[in-house]
Amino acid sequence: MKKSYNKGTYRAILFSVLIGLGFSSCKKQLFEEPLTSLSPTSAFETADRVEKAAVGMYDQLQNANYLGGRVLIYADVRGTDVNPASYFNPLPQFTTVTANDGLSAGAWAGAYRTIGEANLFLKNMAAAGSVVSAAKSNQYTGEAKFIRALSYFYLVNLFAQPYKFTTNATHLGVPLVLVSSSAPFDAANQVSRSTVAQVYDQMEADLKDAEAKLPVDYSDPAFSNVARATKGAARALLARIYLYKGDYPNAIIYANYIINSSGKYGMNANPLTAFRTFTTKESIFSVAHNGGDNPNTNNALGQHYSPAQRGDINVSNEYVALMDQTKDLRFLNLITSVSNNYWTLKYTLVTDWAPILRYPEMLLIKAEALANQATGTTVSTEALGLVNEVRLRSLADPISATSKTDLIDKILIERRIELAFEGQGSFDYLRTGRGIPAHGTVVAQAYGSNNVILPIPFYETSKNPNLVPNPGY
Amino acid sequence: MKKLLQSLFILLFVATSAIAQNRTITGTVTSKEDGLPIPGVSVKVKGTNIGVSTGANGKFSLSVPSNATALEFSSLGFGTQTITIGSENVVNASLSGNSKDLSEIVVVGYGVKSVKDMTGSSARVSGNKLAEQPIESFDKALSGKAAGVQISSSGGTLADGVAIRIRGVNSISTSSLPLVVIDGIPANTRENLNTFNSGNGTRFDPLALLNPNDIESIDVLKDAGAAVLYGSRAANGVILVTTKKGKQGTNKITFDSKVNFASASKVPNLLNGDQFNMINNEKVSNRWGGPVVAKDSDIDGDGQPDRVDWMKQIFRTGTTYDNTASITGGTDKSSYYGSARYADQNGILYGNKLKSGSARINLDVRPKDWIKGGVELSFTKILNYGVLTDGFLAGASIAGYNAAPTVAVFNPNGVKGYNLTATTPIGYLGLGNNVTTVSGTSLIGNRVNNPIATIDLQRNQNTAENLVGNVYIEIQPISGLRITSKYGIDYQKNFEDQYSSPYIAGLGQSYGGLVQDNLLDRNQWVWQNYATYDKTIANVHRISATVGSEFQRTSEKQIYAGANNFSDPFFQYIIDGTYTGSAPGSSDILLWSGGTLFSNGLESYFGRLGYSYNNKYFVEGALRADAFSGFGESNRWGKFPSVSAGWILSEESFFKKNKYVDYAKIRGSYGLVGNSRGVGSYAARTLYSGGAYASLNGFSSSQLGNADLKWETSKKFNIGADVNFFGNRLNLVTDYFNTNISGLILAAPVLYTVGVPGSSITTNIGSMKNSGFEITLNITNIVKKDFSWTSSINYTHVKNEVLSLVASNNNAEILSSSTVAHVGKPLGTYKLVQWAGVQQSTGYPMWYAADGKTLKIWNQVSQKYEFENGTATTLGAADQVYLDGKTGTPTFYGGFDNSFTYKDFDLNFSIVYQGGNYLYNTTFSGLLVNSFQNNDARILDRWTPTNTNASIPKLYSMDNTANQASTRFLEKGDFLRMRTISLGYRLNKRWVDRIGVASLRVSAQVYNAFVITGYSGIDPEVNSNRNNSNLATGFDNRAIPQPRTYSLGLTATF
Repeated sequence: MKKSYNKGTYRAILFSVLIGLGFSSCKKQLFEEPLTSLSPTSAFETADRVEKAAVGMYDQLQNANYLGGRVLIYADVRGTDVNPASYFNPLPQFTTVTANDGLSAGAWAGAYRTIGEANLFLKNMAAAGSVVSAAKSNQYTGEAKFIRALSYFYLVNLFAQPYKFTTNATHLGVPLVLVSSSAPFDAANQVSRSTVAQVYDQMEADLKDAEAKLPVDYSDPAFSNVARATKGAARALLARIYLYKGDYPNAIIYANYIINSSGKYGMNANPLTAFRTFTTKESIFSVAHNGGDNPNTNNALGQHYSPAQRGDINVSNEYVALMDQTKDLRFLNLITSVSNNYWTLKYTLVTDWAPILRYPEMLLIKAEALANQATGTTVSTEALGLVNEVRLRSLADPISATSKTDLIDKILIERRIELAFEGQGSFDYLRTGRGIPAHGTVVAQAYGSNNVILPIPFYETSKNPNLVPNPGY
Repeated sequence: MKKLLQSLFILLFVATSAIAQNRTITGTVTSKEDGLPIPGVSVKVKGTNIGVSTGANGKFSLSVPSNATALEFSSLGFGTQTITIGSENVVNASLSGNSKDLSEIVVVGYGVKSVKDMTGSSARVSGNKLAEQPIESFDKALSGKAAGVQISSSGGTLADGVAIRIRGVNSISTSSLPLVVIDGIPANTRENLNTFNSGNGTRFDPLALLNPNDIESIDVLKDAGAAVLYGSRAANGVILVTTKKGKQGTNKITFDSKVNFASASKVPNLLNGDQFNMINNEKVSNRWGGPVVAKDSDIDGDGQPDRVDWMKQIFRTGTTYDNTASITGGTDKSSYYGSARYADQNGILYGNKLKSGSARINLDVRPKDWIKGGVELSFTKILNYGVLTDGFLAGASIAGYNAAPTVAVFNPNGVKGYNLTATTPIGYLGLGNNVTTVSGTSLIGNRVNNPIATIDLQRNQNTAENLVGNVYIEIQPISGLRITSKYGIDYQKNFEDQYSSPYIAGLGQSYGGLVQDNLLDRNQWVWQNYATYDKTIANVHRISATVGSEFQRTSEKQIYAGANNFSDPFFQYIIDGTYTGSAPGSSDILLWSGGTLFSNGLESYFGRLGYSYNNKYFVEGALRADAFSGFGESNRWGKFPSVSAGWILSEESFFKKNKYVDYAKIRGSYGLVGNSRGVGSYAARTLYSGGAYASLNGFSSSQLGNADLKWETSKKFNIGADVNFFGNRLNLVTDYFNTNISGLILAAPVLYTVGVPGSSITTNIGSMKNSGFEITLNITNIVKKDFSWTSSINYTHVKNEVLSLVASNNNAEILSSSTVAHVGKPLGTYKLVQWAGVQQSTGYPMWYAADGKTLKIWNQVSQKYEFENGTATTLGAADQVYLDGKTGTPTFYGGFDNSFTYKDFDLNFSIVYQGGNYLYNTTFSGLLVNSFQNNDARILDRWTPTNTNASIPKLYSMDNTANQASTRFLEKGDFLRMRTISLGYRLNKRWVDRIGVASLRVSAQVYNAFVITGYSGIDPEVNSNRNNSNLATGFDNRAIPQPRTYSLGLTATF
C-alpha cells in the first residue's frame, strides 16, 4: 500500500511539473491593452496628437444624423421646395410627429454629441497644458466654439419657435451645455431649457471669440479653408444669426466682411461649380466628405437627393416654377427631370460635401437686411442690386420691386431659388413670421402652431424633469 | 479482447464464489435503439450484491440463488430494466438509451455526476432526439425538450440564429444567451458570424458548425446548484454539449442518410392582380378623385395581362440531402468515434442554400490504469448562399411581399431578361403601364426590387469554417484522486462575400457594381487544470472535492475589402485591374477597406466540496473566482459562491414501507452567478479612436468608460423535488426558482445633452427578478413485450419584474420599439396607444386617449387629429398606455412527447407550446400601407360607404397614419405546434442477419406538421429582433415562415 502511494505522489508531481511549465507563459497573454484605441491621456500627449483630436471634432461634425447632411434635409423636407418625402416620415407630415419620433431624436442626439465632442476637446486640451502652443490653442478653441455655435444654430431653429416669436425671444430654446461632464449620471446634467435669446447670445459669444481666434487661411487651402472653421466662416455664420434675430445693422456688418474680402470670397460663373468643386471662392464653410467617410452610407445628401442613388427626395413643381426655365442656370444646370419628377443636381454622389455657408447667401442676407431697414415703403436700390447680382450670375433676368414688402418677398423667393436644399427651407418661413404653406399632400401649418417645431425627445424629458416638452407632443 | 474476457471471467469467479450456487442464467443485452449488443452492462440479482457485467458481445452468464425473483440490468447512458425470472435459464434484455434513470449520469462542470447525487436543477436531452430533426443547428431542436428552456426562432432562412432563453430573460442590455460548453470547453460566444449590414443582413449562427449527428447528449444547467463551477458565467444558464465517444467493445460503422423536402408552412395572403388594381385605384380616387393609376401590363409579351403570385416565386420546395458516415468502437485501452458528413440543404426561399462538410475524430486511450488521455478534433466548413429578407428593400420578404402582382418577373426585352427598370431610377421592378405620380405627388412609398432578379444577379454568401481541437490527460495517482489537464481551441473563420450588380438598384447600381468581402478570424483557447477527489469513509461518509483553474483567451480580427466600378459586369470578384474604385462620374476613390481587432482574457479559479451521508443527505459548497479583462482594472475579479443540499427521503426508514413512491428527493440551492457575456473587451475604458475627417487624420472619443464596471451578479435560488412513483414508471421533477439580478450590466442611457458617444455608458445599474416553476413528468404508460408507450411532458412558468433602473435618470424607462423596461413591470411591457377602430360615419381611424374613453380621430382630409366634436387635438406619447402584463416573452411554455413502439416499429409525437406573450404584427401593418404596392388581402375589408362596419379604415393614398404603432397590431402569441411526427421501422433481426448488416432502420418524419394558434400572422414562434433586444422580443417583422419538412431517413450499421 505504501509503495503505491509513493508511486502516486511521483506521478502527481511529474504531472504538475508538466502543467506548471505551461502555466506562466499562458497567463501573460490573457490581458492585453487595446490596439484599436488610445486613452484620453495619450490622445493629448503631444502637439501632433492634439491636432488630431482637434480634427476629431469635425469627424463628429459629420454626424450621420446631423451635420453630415441630415439636418439640412430635415429643414428642407418641412419646407415647400421638395415634395413630401415618405422616407423621412413623419417629419414632412407635421401632424403625425410624436415625441418618440426617431429622426428628430437622432438629430437632437447628434447635435449634442457634436457639441459634447467640442466641449470634451476644450476640457482635455486645458488639462494637457503646455503641450500645445498658444497660437494653436487659440485656433483649436476657435474651431471648437464655431462647431458648437453651428450645432446650436440648427438645434434652436428645429426645436424652438423662431427668435421673433416673442419680444426679446424670451420663449424656450434648447438646453445650453458648454462644459463636458465628468459625471454623466450626475443630477447636474439635468439642465433646463435656456430661452431662445440666451441660446442666440451664446452662439454670438462663441462666434465672436472664434472670429478673434480663427485663422483667415490654413496651410492647406485646397481643403481646410472651406472644410475647417475660419475667420470668414465665423463671420458668415454671425451674419446669418443676426439676420434671423432681425439685427439688421450687425447682419450687414458681418455680411460685408465676406462681401468686401478683396476677392477671397465671391461667386463662380456657374452656380453648379460650387457643388462639384468644393473649395472654390464661393464656399465659405462646408462639412467635407470623401470616399473614406463610410461610402456605404445611407445618410449622405447625394444618397437622398440623387435619382441615381436612393433618390428619396424630389423637387416640387412649385419650386421649379419660381425660375425662368429657359434662362436660369439654376434650373438649366441644377435641376433634372427624370421619370416625371424634378430632381436637384446639387448633390449627386455620396462623397458630396454638405454646404453650410455660401457667398450668395451673404449677398442675400445683406439685401434682406437693407430692404428691411429702408424707411416707409422705400425700395432699397442697393438691396435690389445685390439680389440681381445673384440672379445675373445664373443668367436670370433682373428683378424690380414695387414696394418694400414686394422687395422683401422677392428676396425671400430668391433665397429659395438660390439656397434650396441647403437647409433653410422651413426656417425661412418661420423666421419671417410665416407658416408653412400647403404643399403636396401636406396641409398648411400656421405660424406659431405646435407642429412647426420638432418635439423634445421623450427619451430626454423622461429622464430630465427640468426639461419642458414642446407643447402638443 | 482475449484479456478482457479473461478478466471478466476472473471477475465473475470472484463475484460468484462467495455465494451458494444454484443455477446459471445466461443471456444477451441489446440496445433498444439499434439492436446491437451492449457490453459492460451490470446484471444484478435484485435485492442482492450478486452480479456480473456483460462481455464485449453483450452476453452474460450469472449464477443466481434459488430464491432470486428478478434480474436488474443497468448501464451508464442506458436505463435500468428489471426482468422477473421464472424457471427459464436464458434471459435477454433490451435497454433503452432514452429512459430516465437514477444511475444515469449528468454532465456538470468539470466532471460528471449521477442523477441521484445532483443537488441542482438540470435537464438532459439525448442526442438522437436532435439528430433526426431537419435542422441546421442543435439549438433549434431544443424547443420543448427541456423544462425551463425556451427557443424563439427568427424565421425559416437557413442557419439563421435563434434566441435561447433559460428561465426567462435575465438581462436588459447584455446578452441573455446561455453559456455553451462543448466537451467541457466553453464555446465561442459570437452569436452571428456575419457582419455586413450590421449583422442584420444574412445571418449565420455559428452553432450550425456543430454536426447534430455528433451529439451524444445535451445537459442544461439551470440553477446555481447545477451550474456550480460555471458560476461566473451561469446567469443565463449553461448548455453542456457532449459529443459521441467510442464505447468499449462495439466496433460499428454507421451510414446515416436523410432526404428532406421543405416548404413554407404558411405564406402571407396578399391581393391578387384584380384586387390589387381595385385597391390601389381606390387609394388614389379616395384622395384625389382619380385618375386610374393601377393598370394591366403585358411585360412578358405573352399577349395576356401579367399576373404573378410572388409568393410562388420567392418560396419553393427545398430539397436536402444529408449523409453522415461514422465509425465507433473501442477496447479496454482505447476507444474511438469518427464521423464525416456532407449535406446539401436547400431552403424554402428561392436561392437559399447551405453546403456543409464536416469531419470529427474523438479518441481516448488508457495506456496504464492510472493515466488516460484523448483528443476531440473536428472541422466543419459551410458555404451559405444567403438571401436578404426582412429589413432590406432588396430583401425577399420586402420586395416579394410588396411587388405588384400585375407585372411580370421576366421581360424578354429587359436587362438580362428580367423585368427591371432601364431608365433612372435603374434596377427596380418595372411597373409597366402603372402610373406612380399624381399631380406631382409620388405614390411610391418605398421602391420595390424585383426579388428574383435581385437573388439571381447578386451574391450574398459566406463561408464559415470551424476547427475545434481539445486534448486532455487525466491521471489517477491514488485511488479517488484524479488530476486532469485539458486544453482546447475553438477557431472560427468566416469569409463574407457580397456582390451588388449594376443592374439592380442599390449600391451596385450607384457604384457600377460592388463587391464587398469581410474576413473574420476568431480564435479562442481554454486551458483547464483541475483535480477531483472522491472518497467514501466507513461506507457512509462520502467526500468529494474539486479544485482547479481555467484560463481563456479570445481574440478576433476582421479585415474588410471592396471593389467597385467594374470594367464589365462579367467581373464580379476583387480582381486586380478590373475596377477603378471610384464612383462613376467621379475621381474620388472610395475607401473600401477596413478592419478591427480585439482580445480578451478570463482567469479563473474554482473549488467545490461535497459531502454526503449514506446516500441520503447531500451538501455541497462551491466557489469560483474569475477575472475578466473587459471590466475595470480594480473590479475584474468576481467571486461566485454557491451552496446546495439534497435529501433522499425515500432512503429513510420511515419511508421504506411506502407502496407508491419508489424514490423521493428534495433539493435546494442558493448561489451567486455572474454574467459577462456581451460585455465588450474594453468596456470599462474611456477611449479615443480613429476619427478621420475626409482627407485629414484625426481621432475622436469613441467610448466613455466606467472604471468601476464589474460582473453582473444574479442571486439564484432553487428548490425542487424528484419523485418516482409506481415502480419508477412515473418520474416527476418539479422546481421553483427565484432569480434576483443585481448590478445589471446596462448600456445605461445617458441624457443626449451630455453628448457622450453612443449616448450610453456600460454600467452596473438596475435590478430585475425572474421567478417561476417547472414541472417535468416522464411516464412509462405501457411496457409490454411487443408494445410500449412512454410520455414526457414539461411545463415552465416564468414571471419577470424590473426592480430598478438608472436612479439618476429619474428611473426613466428604457424604450425599445414600443416596449419598455419600466420599474415594477415585466421587462418588455408594451406601451402603445389604444386602437379604437374605424369611425363608421367617415371611415377614419380612431384611437383612445390615455383615459381609454376619449376618442381621437384622424381626419384624413384635414390631416389632423380631432376629438369627436371636431376640435383639433394631437396623438402622442401622452396617449400611450402601459399594457400591463403584456410582453413579447412567453410566460409559460413546454413540450409534450410521446413514444410508441410496436415490435420493430416506433412512432413519436413531439409537441411544443408556449403562451402568455403578445406579438406585435409589423408584417401586417407594413402590408396595409396606402402607397402604391401590394397589400395583405385583409385590406379588402376596408371602409367604403357601403361597408361602414369595417376593420380597415378608408383607403387614402399616401396616408399611413392609421398604421402607426398601436394596439391594433398587438395579438396574443399562444400556440401549440406539432413539432415532429416520426415513424421508424427497424428491420427484423432475421432479415438483418440475412443481409449481413448489424442493423437497418428506415424512418419518416414530418417536421412542423401543424400549428394551432389564434395569431393571424404567418407563425407565432417569431422574434424578428433575435438576440438584438431583450425588450422587443415579440416583433414579427416580415420573418420568413418556418418550413414544414418531410424527411426520409435510412440508418445502416455494420
